[in-house]
Amino acid sequence: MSIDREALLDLFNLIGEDPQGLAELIESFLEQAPLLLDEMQRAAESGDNAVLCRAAHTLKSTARDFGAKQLSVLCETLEKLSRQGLPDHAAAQVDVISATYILTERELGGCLADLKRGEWPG
Amino acid sequence: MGTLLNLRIPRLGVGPALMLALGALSLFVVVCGAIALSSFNAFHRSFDRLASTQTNTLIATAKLQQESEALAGYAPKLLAKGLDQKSLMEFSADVYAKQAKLQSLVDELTEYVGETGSITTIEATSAALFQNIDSLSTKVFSRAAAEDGLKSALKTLSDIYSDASDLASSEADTALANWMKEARAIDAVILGLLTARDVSQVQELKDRASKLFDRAAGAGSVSGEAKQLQNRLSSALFGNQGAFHYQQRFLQENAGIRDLLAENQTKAEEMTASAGAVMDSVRGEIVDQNETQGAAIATRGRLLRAIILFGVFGALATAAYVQVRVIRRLGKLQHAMRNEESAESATALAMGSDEISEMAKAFIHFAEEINRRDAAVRQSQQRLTNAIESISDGFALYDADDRLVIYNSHYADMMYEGAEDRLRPGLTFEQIVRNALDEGRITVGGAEAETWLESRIARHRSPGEPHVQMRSGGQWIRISERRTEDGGTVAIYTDITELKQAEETAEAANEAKSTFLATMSHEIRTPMNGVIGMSNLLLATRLEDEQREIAETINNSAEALLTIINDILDFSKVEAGRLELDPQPFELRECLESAIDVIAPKAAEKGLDLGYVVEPGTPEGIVADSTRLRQILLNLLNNAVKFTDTGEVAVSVSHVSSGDMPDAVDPCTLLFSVRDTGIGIARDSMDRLFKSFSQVDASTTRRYGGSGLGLAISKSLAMLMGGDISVESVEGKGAKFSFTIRAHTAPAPKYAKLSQTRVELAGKHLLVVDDNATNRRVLVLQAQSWGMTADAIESPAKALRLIASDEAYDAVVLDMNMPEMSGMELAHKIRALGRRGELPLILLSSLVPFGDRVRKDIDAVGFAAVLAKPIKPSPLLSALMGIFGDQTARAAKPAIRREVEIASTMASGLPLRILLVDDNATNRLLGAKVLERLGYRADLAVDGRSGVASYADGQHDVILMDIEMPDMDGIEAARLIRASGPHEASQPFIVALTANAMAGDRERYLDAGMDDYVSKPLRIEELAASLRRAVVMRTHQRAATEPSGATAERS
Repeated sequence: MSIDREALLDLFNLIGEDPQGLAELIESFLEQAPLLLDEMQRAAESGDNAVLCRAAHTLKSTARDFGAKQLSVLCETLEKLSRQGLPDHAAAQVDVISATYILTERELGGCLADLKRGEWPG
Repeated sequence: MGTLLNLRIPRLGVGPALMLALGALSLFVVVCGAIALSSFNAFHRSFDRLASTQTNTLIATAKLQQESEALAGYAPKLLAKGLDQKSLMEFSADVYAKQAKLQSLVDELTEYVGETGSITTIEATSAALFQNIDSLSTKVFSRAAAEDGLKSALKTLSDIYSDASDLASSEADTALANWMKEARAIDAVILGLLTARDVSQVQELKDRASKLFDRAAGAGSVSGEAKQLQNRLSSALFGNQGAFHYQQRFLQENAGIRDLLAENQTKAEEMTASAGAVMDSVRGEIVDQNETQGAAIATRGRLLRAIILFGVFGALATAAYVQVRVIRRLGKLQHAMRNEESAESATALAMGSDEISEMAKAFIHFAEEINRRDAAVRQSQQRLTNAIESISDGFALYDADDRLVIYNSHYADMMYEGAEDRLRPGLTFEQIVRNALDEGRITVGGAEAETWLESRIARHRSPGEPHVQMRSGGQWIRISERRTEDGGTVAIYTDITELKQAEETAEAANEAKSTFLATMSHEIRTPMNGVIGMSNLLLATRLEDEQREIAETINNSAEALLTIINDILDFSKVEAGRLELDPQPFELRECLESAIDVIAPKAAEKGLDLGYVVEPGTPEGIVADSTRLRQILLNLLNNAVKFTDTGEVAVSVSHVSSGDMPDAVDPCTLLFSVRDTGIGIARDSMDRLFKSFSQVDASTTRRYGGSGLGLAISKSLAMLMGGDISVESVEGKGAKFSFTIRAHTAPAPKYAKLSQTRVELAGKHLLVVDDNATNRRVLVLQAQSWGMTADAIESPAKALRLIASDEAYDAVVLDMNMPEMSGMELAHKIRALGRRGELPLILLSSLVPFGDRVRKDIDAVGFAAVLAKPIKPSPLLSALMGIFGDQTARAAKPAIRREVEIASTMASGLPLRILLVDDNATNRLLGAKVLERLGYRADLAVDGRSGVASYADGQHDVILMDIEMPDMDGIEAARLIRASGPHEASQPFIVALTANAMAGDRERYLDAGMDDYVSKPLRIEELAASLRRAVVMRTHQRAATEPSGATAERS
């Protein structure tokens, strides 16, 4: 399980235990994350470490909100590395993050489906 | 000759001699006193006698004389006295009284002087005197009577003559007349009679008268009557009462009186003479007495003078003795003592046997002893000096006043090179160092010379660790100072110039190595992330078994390699001292669980039980670097799993101590232990465990892999966190690694909610069946924390018996993997019990997810829940709540409600216009939802630039500003907004929102003009608190600017 249910629960509590709201947030994340990944990919290819850093930072923070721990950690690593300049193999790292995101997306999608069915994801 | 000398009276000692002299002098004094006293007594006695007896005698004698003379004087008085009877009687009485007084005086005198001759004479004389006066008085009486008789006789004569004339005239008797004529001749005789002086004259006159009478009678015869007259005349003349008779008697008595008077005179003289004799005798006696006393006193006086003379001589002799025998010799001895070397001069004094001689002998002994010891001291001092001199280091000893006592030439060399002779004992440390400093012998670095000197002196006075000093000329000296027992200081100066150079070289090399390692690790890690990511990606695709195996191997190898690289990176940081902690509040259990989660799959693969216990009393929330704490735990857990093939790995946390102060001031100490049942560590290897690059032995490395840095890093980290690490182990039985950290406690809201008693669970009876003691304990503790009662049993068979009996359990938690009987088997048997077996069962397994066969079994049994090991509180609570909680609440609700008391009416109480600036749509949505929950409807801006524009339109009270944004980041946006605000009152409250929870970030944001800071992930309490702060600030601003009229009708 790549999604930390506790973190998801925290988020749920944060917005006032609103399953619909949580579903909306997850949908938003699933929309936004690929955009960020694209941005990272482009930045890595073009060597724009500032954009790479910022996008990684954003994805790190949102991924953490949704309990996507591994994704968040990978993004954090990339963020830190890109702070001092374009990391070597930046594109490869973005690929790794993208791969990890696939797992996250799959699971969050499941959660979203559960929520829409009126069940607590788990 | 010799014997003769020996026969001499032994010379007395000083003490006895002085005693003797003082005794003699005392005796003299006593004798003098006695003599003086006796003289005085004798004199006193003599004087007493003189005063009491002899004086009285003299007085009495004088009185006696006086009285005697008075008595003698009575005779003439008697004659002079009138002759009447009365005065005679009075006189008589007077005389008797005198006599009585005289008698008493005589008696008194007799008493004083005794019956002496003189007294007897006085007594006799006085008696005679008295007799004489008595006779005299009788004679006076008689004479008076004779006088009276004469007078009456003359009267009678006259009468007769008158009668005769009458008769003669009447009768004219011539005879008669004749006779008468004749008779008249007698008258002349009678006249003569009256002048007669003696008896013979009277007799002659009587004879003449008688003749005349007879002639007259012859001249005439006379008648009868005449005759009668004649007779009468004869009788009056010559009769017994006649004139002649009386005259004769008078004269006779008168003669007697005259005799008596003469006698009286004689007696009186006798008396005077006698009294005089008495007085003379007494006077003589006094004179005698005086003479006797005088002689006696004179004798005693001589005696006294003699004694005093002796006394003075004695005293002088004693003084001379003391001077010669004592003082002079003592003086010599003292002189000898003062001039120690002249002990020989005391030798003369030592000849003899008295006290001073003894003293002199003792002194000579002493002097010799002192000389001997002096020599010994000089010798040992010389040895010490030689020894100190032979030390290759500089050595110096300072006394308690910091004055130099002793030092060797190396010290002088180091202190005053080229001017060593300027160093001398007695100089103070300050003087020495100040001089060296003034002459530029010491390099003080950047410090002020005076400051440096002060700290140098302070260090000298209370020395600690050795320190290093740089001397001008590039010499490095290590100074090691110690306090001596008597408060002095010993200083050792070691020239470590070569050492220092070597050290510097080594440090530089080490630095280079660390930098190299860090760089290399970094360089390696980056592609490694790629390898891992790609292999993960690969594994997520559809793969043939063989391909999957290869991909997994790649992934595992990459993970292992990454771990090693991370270790090396950490280690190089530790070595370089660059490792810094970032303490943040976090929940301890979360940190533990995250570490266990990582290790759980490996433990499950090896079939190990993995569990953790948070001992009661352990703070659930602490402030520490959770990443580093997790790193230590992971290191230890990795090792434990690596070196354990069967049994279990258990983690425990307990609270060791908190200081005396409340936790806010004093951090508490937490003890973490990781215990395993693995191969253990040999005793002799334990020391090396925590050292760098040290696995127990090379073969271990070969067999188990690993960098061997993990424990060294863990030790460094534990020490950085204020604790330490240790190990206990029995080879072959397992090991227990323990470490401590010190941390302040922090709130742990998640756990606080998790550990509350649950109404739904309270009083429920739970049975735990697990062969692992740690797990049993964890399960029981957790169940109890929710208000349940729990029994824990190791043996499945016994559990089955219990369930089959009357024991009423509400649920059973059973472990899948038990040696005696598997959890699945036990579950089947429970279900086979019939009604009693129809109770909810929870299965624990480390093998989640299961294969299809197991899944079918699970479905067949109908488990209420299947939980992955290691056991965590929240899934267990979810499962239990699922069984006992409100069934309807389960749908679409999380099992755990974490109620946070947030007033959705906050906005109505504290109305604020809020602008949320975030480039990420999800974050905007999330932020808007959270604010909505508090009752706020926020304006949203998608980046920094549009944020500034939105603020220009809306003049919001609060701006929640994301930091990392494209184009214009939060910091820049905040700066622009600050710059655009006309004055203080209209400035918004800007809150930084960021996931960069790095130490120091907060300051950076505040420096950029932001007012507050809220970390991501967002926490509603934190956000609400920040908004409250915004209200407070706003209120202050308005209060400050109200008079100016710049009010805020905006809100």
